[in-house]
Amino acid sequence: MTEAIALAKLKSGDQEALGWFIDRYGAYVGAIVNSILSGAMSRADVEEVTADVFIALWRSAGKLIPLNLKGYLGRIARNTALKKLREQRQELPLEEDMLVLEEDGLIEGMTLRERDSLVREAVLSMPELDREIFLRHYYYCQTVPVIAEKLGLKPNTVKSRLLRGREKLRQSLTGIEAVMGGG
Amino acid sequence: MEVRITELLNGLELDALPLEDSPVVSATKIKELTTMKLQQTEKKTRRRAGKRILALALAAAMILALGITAYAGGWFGLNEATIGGQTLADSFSDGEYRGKAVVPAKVISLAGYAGTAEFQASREWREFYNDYVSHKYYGDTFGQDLGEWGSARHVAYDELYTPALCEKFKEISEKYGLLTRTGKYSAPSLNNYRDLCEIAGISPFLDSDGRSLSWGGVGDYSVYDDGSFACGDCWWPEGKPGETDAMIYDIRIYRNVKGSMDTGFVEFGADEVLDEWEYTTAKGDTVDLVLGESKALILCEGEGAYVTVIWGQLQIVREKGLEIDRGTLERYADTVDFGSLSSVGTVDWRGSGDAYSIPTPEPEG
Repeated sequence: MTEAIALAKLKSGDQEALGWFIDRYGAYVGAIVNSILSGAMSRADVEEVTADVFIALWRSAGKLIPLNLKGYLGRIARNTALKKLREQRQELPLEEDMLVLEEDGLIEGMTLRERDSLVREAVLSMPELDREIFLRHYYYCQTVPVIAEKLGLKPNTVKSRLLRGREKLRQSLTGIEAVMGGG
Repeated sequence: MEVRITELLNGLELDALPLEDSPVVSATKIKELTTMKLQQTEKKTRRRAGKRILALALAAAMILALGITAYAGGWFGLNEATIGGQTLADSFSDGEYRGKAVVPAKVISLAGYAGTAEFQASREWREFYNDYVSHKYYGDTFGQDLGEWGSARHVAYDELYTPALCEKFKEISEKYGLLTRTGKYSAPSLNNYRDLCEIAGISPFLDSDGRSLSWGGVGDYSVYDDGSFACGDCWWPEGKPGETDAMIYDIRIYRNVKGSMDTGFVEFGADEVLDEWEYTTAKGDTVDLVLGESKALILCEGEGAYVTVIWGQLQIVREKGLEIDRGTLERYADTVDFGSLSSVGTVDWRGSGDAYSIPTPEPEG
């Protein structure tokens, strides 16, 4: 079965099609949810949230098109897990999550869609390794030591790449370039 | 201006994100859980439909027994959503402001009908709030001075601005097992009708014929992390869209998700003459319509939410020469997709909404 056929069946209310998506993307969705919730919540919570992501897919099937469903599921998985974390008043162990922007930056007055597009461009324009580190940390909420271990880097190298990523994002959102130090 | 990077990335969809698939959860377990959750949803829907049918059957039996028509007696619709006969109003004596006092009114809940947890909670809250404000808080205060404590906190729910109010709110929501909202997303960053639909996870619900101003992105929007929202709308029943004199301008649309605590209400004058009727829209949705002297309402209950549309300031609209009758309200109802508005949404909390919690009460003083 192709993804387009599975989605068409899902839209018609076929629960077997939902099973097809779980077989195909369950490990991916579970890994994202686990990456964000592990350490703060139990395995049962991870399973619960992973199931909620596929319930969301079931309910929103009518408005989806068979294009980048993996990306869609990834986003829903991340946002659902973060929401769960917020409900439990849990903080994320992230390096400098706050980005300070000038008041008259480009994102003032933008719609969400426009802002998302700008953020996407900024992330895609980062050098490959910087992008991977940036997304592992700020998208999947992996800690610096975990990223360093997975990529075989020193923690300080990860931190300096994150700094560059933050500055790139800030520049894209404000249109203002800053003089960077070494890194 | 400060923004959270994690929130900026909420809308990111990439198909090649660097993360290893890992079998931390088994596909079999996820299938079991999703099947169970879907069955639970179906059962709830069937139970609600069953209750509705039973209520209608009982009402029909009573109508036959009493030999009267349903709407003349006010058996349906508005009475099922009425949570009280009193509201708060400023009171004056000898030209001096005397605080808030309760006055007679017909008060309608924006969340739930009689017999639901949301309705019961809304009624208890309204009774407490009226008593609290008329006896304890506003007695000598004019202009709703919320104070430092209240100003910092009332953003979550407008009426939570003292520790005592927060404590009671928590008590009632826990008593009825209702969720409280913890995030709100509004202007200036949310200024687009399509964003509102995307965040709440429902299909667009207004006809795009240009007669509804919201398509221009001008509405006053607030959306919460449970998928509930409020938005403004304007509508031209006649003339060209854009002509100020041909516009009904004070329309508010409320979607209150089932299972959540809501304090919203709308009121009519105690003696106001109300015309109520049931109507099936052009899109096939059954709604309750109410036409009064000051306001008009459209009420609808769906699988996922209670919906209330309020037309306000009808006296001013009538003074402009616009005719407001049953047909006008039905024509507007035809332009709204109430099925979408009241559906179970797939909330996509992707923006930088203000996250907050109902604060832990501290000693009042």
